[in-house]
Amino acid sequence: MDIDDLIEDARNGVTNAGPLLVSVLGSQLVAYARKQGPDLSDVDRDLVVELAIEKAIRQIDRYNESRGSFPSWLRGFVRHEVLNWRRSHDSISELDHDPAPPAPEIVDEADVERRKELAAVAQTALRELKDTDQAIIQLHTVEGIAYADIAELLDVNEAACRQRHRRALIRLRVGLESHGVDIDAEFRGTHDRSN
Amino acid sequence: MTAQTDKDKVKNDLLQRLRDEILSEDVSSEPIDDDLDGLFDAVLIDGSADPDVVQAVDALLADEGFLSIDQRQRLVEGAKRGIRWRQAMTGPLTRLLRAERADHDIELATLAASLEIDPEHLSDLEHARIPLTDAEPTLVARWIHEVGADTDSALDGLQQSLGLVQARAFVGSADAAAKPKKRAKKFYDEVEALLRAGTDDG
Repeated sequence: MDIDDLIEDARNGVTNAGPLLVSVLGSQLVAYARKQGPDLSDVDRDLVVELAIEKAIRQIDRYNESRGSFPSWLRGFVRHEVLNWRRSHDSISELDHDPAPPAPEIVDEADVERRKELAAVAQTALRELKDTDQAIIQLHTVEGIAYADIAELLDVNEAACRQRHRRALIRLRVGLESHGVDIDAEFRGTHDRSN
Repeated sequence: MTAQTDKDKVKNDLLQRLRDEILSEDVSSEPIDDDLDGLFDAVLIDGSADPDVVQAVDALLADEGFLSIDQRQRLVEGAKRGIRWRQAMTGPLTRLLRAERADHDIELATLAASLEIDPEHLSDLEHARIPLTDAEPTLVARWIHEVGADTDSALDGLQQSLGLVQARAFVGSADAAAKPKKRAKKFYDEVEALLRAGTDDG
């Protein structure tokens, strides 16, 4: 069965679409979850993928093929569920050690809009890069695949993967600047993730 | 050459070029700006590259390992819950109950016998040839229970079947429609009470 037919069947609630979807994409989603959450137990990892599949089917109307492939969209749900697992896991650990409640999060609507605009510019700048630059950024930055896993998939050296990714990011930075984005103002202040 | 093999060639070519470029990296050369790592994650997390590139990445991440029977079972359960949710949200209760009966391999005659009704009558109800309100609320509640449908999904579907979802949007707009809606609401409430009582007992 064609993947587009499968998506349409899932949209229409055709019963067989669920098991078929698992047959076509289940194993790669579990493998992806393994890369995203190497610290998760097998049981937790399977639960993460189970929830990801359920939520993806529920929200399948939101899938837009112009924004990416269906497997890539599904992997987004796996990433989200791994994050959810981490959050709940972390909050349990925090409860064990520090009962202080977190400070309430203040959402600035203007900032949310600005981030959306920035994301759109970033996507444009990404698509303007040469395809191999896009591929390494898609693999590491978007899909969250670790350098060690990319190295294994491509049968290359991990350090060289890291270096190739950085070169692509430098070109992305130049691309963003050419679109009028002030990197220091937009990113440096909020960048708190280490790799 | 077919369109599919053309696509495969593009994907393989892209991945091979990426591999070659990585292999040609000199890791002992000048230090690379570490400060960039993770800088753009937040704005790219929901973005994606060109569709051809994404397909190549899909190909690279595909065909990995296999599912054990237990794993497959779990994932199928998740997928089925998602599908049932869609069925309930997008269709009437009868569609959900028909799907559940098929899922559990329950013959129509077996279910009819269990519900103590004529199979033809059950078939008419199942295919919405006669309205659900022609049956007793107790029968509908037992039917939902017998096919193992999720209570909340079934109640969502029952609202669809009885036209109660639209009714909310037009409250007070038509006196003529008020009486049937009142009857439908009473029917719904009775089924819900029976299901909830069954859940509480269980």
